Amino acid sequence: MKRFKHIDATSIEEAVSLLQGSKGPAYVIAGGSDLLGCLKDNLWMEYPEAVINLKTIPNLNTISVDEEGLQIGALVTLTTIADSDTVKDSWPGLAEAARRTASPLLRNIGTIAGNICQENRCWYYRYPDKIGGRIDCVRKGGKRCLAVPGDHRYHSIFGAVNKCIAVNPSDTAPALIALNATIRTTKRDIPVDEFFSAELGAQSTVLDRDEIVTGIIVPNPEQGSTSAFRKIAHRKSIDFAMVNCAVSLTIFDGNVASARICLNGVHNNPRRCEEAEAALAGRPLSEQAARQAGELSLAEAKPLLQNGFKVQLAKAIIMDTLMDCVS
Amino acid sequence: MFKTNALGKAVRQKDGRPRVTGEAKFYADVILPNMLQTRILRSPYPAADIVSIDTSEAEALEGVRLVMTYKNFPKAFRDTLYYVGDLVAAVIADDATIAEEARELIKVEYTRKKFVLSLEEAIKPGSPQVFDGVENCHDWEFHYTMSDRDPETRLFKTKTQTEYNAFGDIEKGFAEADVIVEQKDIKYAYCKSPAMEPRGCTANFDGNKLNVYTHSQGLHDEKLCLAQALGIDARMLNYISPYTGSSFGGKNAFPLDRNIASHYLMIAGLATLELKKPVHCGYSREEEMLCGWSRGTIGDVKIGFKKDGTLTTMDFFHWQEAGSGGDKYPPKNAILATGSVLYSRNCEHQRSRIRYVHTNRFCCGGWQGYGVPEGTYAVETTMDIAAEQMGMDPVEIRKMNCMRAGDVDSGWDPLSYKSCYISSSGIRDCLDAGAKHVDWKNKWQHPSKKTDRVRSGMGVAIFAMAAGRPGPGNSSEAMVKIYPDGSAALVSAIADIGQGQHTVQTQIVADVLNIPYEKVGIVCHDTDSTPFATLVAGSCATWIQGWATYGAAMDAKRQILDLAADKLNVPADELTMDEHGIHVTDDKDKQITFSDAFGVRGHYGGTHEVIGYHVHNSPHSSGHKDGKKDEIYIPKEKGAQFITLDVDTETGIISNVHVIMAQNVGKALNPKIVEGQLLGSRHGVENALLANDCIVDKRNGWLMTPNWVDYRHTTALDCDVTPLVIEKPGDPSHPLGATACGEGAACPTLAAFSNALFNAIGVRILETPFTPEKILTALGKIQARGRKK
Repeated sequence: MKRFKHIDATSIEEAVSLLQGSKGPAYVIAGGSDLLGCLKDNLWMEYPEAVINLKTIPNLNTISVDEEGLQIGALVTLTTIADSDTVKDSWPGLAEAARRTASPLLRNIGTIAGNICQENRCWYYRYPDKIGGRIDCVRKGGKRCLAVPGDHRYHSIFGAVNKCIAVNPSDTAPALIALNATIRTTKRDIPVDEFFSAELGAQSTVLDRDEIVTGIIVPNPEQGSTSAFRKIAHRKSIDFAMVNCAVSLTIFDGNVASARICLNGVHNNPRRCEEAEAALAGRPLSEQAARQAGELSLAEAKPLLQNGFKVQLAKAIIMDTLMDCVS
Repeated sequence: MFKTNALGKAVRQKDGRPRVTGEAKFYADVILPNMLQTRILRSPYPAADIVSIDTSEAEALEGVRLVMTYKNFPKAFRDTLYYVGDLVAAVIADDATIAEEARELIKVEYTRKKFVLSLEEAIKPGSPQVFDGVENCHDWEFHYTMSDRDPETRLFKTKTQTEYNAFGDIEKGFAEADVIVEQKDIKYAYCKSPAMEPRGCTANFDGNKLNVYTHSQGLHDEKLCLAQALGIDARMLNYISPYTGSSFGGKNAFPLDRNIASHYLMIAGLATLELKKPVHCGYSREEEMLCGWSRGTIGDVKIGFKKDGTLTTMDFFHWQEAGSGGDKYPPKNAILATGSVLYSRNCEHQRSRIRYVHTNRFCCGGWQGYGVPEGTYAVETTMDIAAEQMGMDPVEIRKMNCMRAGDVDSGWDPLSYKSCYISSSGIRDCLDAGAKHVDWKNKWQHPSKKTDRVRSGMGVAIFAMAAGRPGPGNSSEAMVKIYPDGSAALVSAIADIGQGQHTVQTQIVADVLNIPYEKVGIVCHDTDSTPFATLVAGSCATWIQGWATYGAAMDAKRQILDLAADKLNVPADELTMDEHGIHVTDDKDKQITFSDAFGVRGHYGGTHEVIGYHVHNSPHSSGHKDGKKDEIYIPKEKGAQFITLDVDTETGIISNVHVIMAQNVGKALNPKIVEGQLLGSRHGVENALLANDCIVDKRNGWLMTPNWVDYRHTTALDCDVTPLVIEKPGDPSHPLGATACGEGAACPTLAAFSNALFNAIGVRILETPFTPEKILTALGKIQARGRKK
């Protein structure tokens, strides 16, 4: 790794102006658990001129509740969210997603904003450039995706975006989508449904290079609503999900009034399951309805040669996460 | 015989505090003034020739001291490359950043060649040859037939080189069998030894000597190899081992064979001799994953039984992946799982055929289990299939046929030349203890009765693992010093790679000298200050080094009693030593302090330290049956393992994995360390459960899992282990009745896991790892992978 300047920002305005004023590439760092790996493996083919530390900015690491909903500062750690009684009581799907992310050590340093902005884990994209030189996948400017004809057992089952079949690895992203959160940045408020955009090329979100997430707002739960999160991974302790799922559900008079279901680990962006949401509405939530929701959500799946099993995992996890909301 | 002072107690490990607090210094903590750094350029191709290599730009970069290639250092580099990650060049520079920059300036032109990346492909006729002009598939050189069985001793007297290992008559055996059970293609997927500390060393030339700081499994063995490989006298080389950050048997350095991973030693050694400056060469995690020892096998097993379940005949065919080079010896241990040892009770006819197979991957070498996990997986899975076919209880069929104390071991260790007796077994006790723990009698259910979404399974497997290498050439030495203040030190090069060996050896000294454990230290710094000790491999240290330590302590004690006898005017054999000094055994008041026994200090002629010394050549005569040299008892690691688990039939996810590891250890010299060793079963679980099969891109040979994110370790949340330590003291082959306890824990796990999985879902999966995809396919939930046209 090459040398770079490390600057402690004292305010969010200063951080933005440092990003804008840097001669070469500049990145912001909070927990750093993803950024440093990306830099070490030289994923972006550019070494930063400067890395701007956000942890020295006050007041970005608090959780509070007001009439808008749950206000989570960008620097709030996953541990704080997982341990918060407020979050566990009213937004259990989010608390569980934070609890299931990575390991205790990583949750202690990893922030919620970092978790939704992280790079994908495709093993071709991440292949170290220190073994006989770099390999160029389509996301690094190569002509084609190396995973499509290669080993794609953990890749997208819903096709490619810009030829790339990497999946979004975040555990909290589907929870925030199910809970219809808003991402607040230095420039704007972005509805979470519009936040993730692998379509834009070598980044996973719609953020501009000089734009920083400052907080996340999760609406207060309506009466009769609850949320849940599940994750299927090889280990219970630490691993990126093969598939994960978050659901938020409002039940009125014994029937589903509204549902939001989001899968992740199945496509370049987290994937809302809108057909299943619509099909659930107005009926009681039975095991059969939940199973149907899984089938509907995967009807359009286009698995590749090696990842057909993820379709079955996704169907099962949707059913189970829905049933968690009523059990 | 002795008052137990420290033995049998869970005393604090000597290295416990430094390791836990971070005070322990590892090779990477050795930072010398003006130390240079190394970066290695590695092959991007699984098979290639270097057509041209231009290092001029790299050499011209300021701060670069040396660029090493096959041109200037043919001892370490070559122009043919056999695997992704093979050595192309090394840059030695003032710091790592300069070395990295220079590495990118090296211009290499390669000719790519055809390659083969898997065992199945490499076996096929006409597959690309790893070594030009040489078949990939090799017959094992150590095949023998044992014959001329003495009816009285039951030992085989004649050993003849043949095309396979055998005794009895395999054709006759199967012809006479009532039931024949055969299972082919039991596949143990290629996986890695999982050491946390990546390989590396720091070398320094001090004007007289090359000092090499590195992790080690056997300081002296490794030093002699390195001196020979570097082409210098052994006297010129001092091999220094600070703490070793775990090894799991895969970090034995063997620089003489350049196919086996010790390139860091050659690079740093040669560069230091050239530049006369300290050179550090440490692997990154990715390099460690590329160049860590591996294993992978395919096994076919065929077993013949009598109607009542008596096992009479076994045929075993074993293909071992050797990578591009590799260690040929592990299959000798795979044979331990067959009728040669594990089922020697009733087996009359036995045949084992071994092939080792080259592929364009990093070399495979022996590590934790050294061949036994692979053999045990194949045989113990087939035994389970047999139990199912014959309608027998899987525990009972094993109890009926497993080896017992006094049975004959004909394991064909190529280093030994005899058949011998198994000194103790205890497998049946281990089976009983484990079955009781899991309530096998009441809880075991046939899979046909399980219909719920989540199904529980219960499986069992037994194992036998070598304990040390019983043949000639396995020696160890020790010195024990006693100081005038009554403290003592064991001077021994026996490596502590996390298994607690330093603790156990000092416990032996404390016990013999009858002084507190805390008063005994250990000197295990380097090869210059210690006598030769055996390589720590094959769970041998307690057994082989234990004798040496014991003998040296006895020798030191004899000397100090002689000193005291002089001063007290009492014969030495009437004296007793304890922490206060030496006293007359029958008269405690007639005593002398250590200080007085040693005499005056300084220039006036007293004794300043007593040095006891012992050389142990294995096997020890106390292991001779009835004093006969030709009839030897040798110990084994041996035991039984039970696994319980739950399978979700909708997702194929396995959870609640619980391993019950029961092992007969003879006497547990330190019960806590022994329990810790049994927890090593976790590594077997990781190869079964966690998709750990070193995933390789089939078109390019890239290792897709060169890190701890994609190559997974089990944690306590994924697998719970209950150690059941079974003690059957009195093993004649060790002075204190201990046998061995180390690698055994990893041996039966794949089989027990596979058997538990079958018991849960009723479908047998014969290829590790047992991924959700394979389970869902077996259950018919998803279609098997098809080839798209």
